[in-house]
Amino acid sequence: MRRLPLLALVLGLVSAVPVEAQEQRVELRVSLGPDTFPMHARAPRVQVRNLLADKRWSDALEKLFPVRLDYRLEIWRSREGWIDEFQRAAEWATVVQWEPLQDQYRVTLLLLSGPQELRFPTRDEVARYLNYTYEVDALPRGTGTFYYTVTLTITALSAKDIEDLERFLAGQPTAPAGPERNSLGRRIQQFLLRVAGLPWDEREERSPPFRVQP
Amino acid sequence: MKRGSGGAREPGSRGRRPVFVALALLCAGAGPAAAMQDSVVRISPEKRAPDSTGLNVLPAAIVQELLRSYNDSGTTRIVGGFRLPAGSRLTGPLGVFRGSLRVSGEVIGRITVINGDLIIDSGAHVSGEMLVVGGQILIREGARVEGRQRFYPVQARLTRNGAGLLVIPPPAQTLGDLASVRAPITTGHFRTDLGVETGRTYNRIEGLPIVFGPSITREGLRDVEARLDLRGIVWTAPDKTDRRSEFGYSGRVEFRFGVERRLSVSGNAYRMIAPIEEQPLSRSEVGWAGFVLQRDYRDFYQAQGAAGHMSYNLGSGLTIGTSIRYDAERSVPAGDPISLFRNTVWRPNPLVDDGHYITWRVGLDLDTRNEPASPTSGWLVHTYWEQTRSNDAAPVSLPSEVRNPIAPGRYASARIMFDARRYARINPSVRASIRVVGAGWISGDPLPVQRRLSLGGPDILPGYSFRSFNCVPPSLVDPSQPALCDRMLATQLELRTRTHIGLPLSTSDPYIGALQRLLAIREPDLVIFGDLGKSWITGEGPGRVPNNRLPVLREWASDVGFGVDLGGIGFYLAQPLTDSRPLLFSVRLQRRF
Repeated sequence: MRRLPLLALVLGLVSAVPVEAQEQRVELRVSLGPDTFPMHARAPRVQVRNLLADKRWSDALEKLFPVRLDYRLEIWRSREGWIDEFQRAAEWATVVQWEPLQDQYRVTLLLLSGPQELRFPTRDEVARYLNYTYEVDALPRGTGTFYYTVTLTITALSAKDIEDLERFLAGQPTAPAGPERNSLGRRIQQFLLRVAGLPWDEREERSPPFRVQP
Repeated sequence: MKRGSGGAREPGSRGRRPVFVALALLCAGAGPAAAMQDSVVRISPEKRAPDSTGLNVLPAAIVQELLRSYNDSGTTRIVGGFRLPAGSRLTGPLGVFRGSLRVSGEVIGRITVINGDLIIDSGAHVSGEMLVVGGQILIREGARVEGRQRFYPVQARLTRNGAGLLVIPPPAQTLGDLASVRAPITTGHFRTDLGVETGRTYNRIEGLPIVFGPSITREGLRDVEARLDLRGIVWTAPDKTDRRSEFGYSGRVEFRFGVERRLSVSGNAYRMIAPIEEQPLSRSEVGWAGFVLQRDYRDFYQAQGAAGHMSYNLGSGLTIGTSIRYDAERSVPAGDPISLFRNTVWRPNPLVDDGHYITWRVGLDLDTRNEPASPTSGWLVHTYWEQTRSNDAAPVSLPSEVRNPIAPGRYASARIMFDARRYARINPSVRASIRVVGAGWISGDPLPVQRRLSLGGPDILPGYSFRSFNCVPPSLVDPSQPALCDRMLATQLELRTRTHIGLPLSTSDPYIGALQRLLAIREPDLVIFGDLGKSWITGEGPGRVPNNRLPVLREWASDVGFGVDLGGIGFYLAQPLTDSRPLLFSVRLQRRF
């Protein structure tokens, strides 16, 4: 498992691709909502930019692969230099799909409370919607200094995932296509997606810290 | 985009139109679209559906009524959202599956909406029975409605078959393992999964193991679940001796009791190739190293016998369990399976102490990690105590520095193992992980060869080469580099921070894209680590450490290093701090720990 040339090869590949590096990339932004909650708690705001400007995802949509965005929001309490406290996590997902027969885009928001679906007639409109900011109803508990971290995993769904999603939307509770899918399943899915040649990406960002006090 | 910016769009229509409404299904205006005007969508990911506890089962009679109604040859079937425009009239039964029906015109006939809403606009007219499942009925002021109305919020577990008719789907499959093929068959309460898959490794004993067979699960009982797994194992590496059997097998029956299935009791019979140590690399990494570089980082023996297990999940991630097994353990020689880049001679597989062993184990596991794949908080603890006895063991002859002579036919020893990992976030940008791992003899006779240990290699001490500390005395020349230590103790500390250096590259180059996908490249973590470990022979005598003592700190091996973790692959450089050894480079295909 020791191969110095491998590192050189990877570094060489990285440095050999200047042109495409200029293309627009998906951006994840995590910020704080306005100071309107009791004790100055701030809700997290999550925004994904340039999803459809990124060629990988626009190509995947055009090839009829639904694009799935899995969000994981974690709430952390800072202990000022000591180990921070993980409070809890919230997960949700968004699936973007182009339906060529109806020439429309479908966006499905997968929440624990059930799926919510939107349809858009044009690419511009769905792109505009996807750039909107999610304000997440998940506030920290207690007082102290808090911050949020958000991990975004973007995948192009395989045929099996599409089938799972269909079942989930059809209300089959034992077919978890939502964020509740187990991690092993997700890892296997990611590997399968890689082998199948479908894109896969992961981003992580955190919010500025904020203080909750009486 | 503004809500209500144009006319409705009907499914199935083609071509671009200038304006359309994007909205298809929203819950009483409280969903995303309500907040879209200010470009902020408010969501509640922690909120569960209010009907998810008491009403989560749709009456069987309703399910049958849905099937009859939708599949009726006289029914107009629609999949997806549909709007009947004002001025339009539809006569006869209408069924909508997985979408909302919005009536602005007139419907004369029965309406069945499955997993969607029925919205009747002002000025619309509906005359007929209305059944909505997985949604609600919204009647706007000014609508005229005649007929019985029923709705059930819980969604129907139905799917479409190839003919477009609704059927009750078979139980959902989970995603299978890599390189596996599964075929589910459901008969009444019994679900059978027929599967063929690889053993997810590659080594010099088995080659690529192919595993096949059925799993049969009895479902639907409230307090018990039963499962039977039957497996045949084909070893693709030929054995030129008669030491290894021709094929392996495993038969396992498991019962899980309680509503939450916390108590598990199982028994199995098996013949398989078992690893001697669970390190220095994971099973899949060992497989790739063997297949690509002809380096097998593990040793193996053949185990044939039967076992019983019992475990109880105490909640909060804590599980206790016990097992007892009786098996014949015997040495197996290395075969000669192919390797991708090197095809010389494989490292020999060391001999073990052949014999029949009774092994009793008591274990405890704790898992409170926030995210198993990439944890930033919580504990992961795996520990057990194990006692082994044998009445017919044939010990391998080892130098007295390693093990005092043992009379054949008598073995009774005990050992423990613990692996505790703590994940934490020190501050918003830095994550820390610490691991303490140890194992070894605690009582009785010296350990059999197949229970012994070593250190050195990419996992615990990456600054030191494979089996650098295996307790083989200079008097023993053995090309198999066996692990002969009685005890091992090590600790690892790791700090990591996420970098934003533009990976994976957004590229249209298919080769670079494929390489990135294959390696699961993501934003890299910069990793800084340090490791400290020692393995030793315990007991009285030269070169040994007394049973009740730990080696002095100056005898421990340590290293420091750094690397980048790119997701599916990581590159690390480690510098040993003892013995003036050179810098070592290692590649991992998963997180270090």
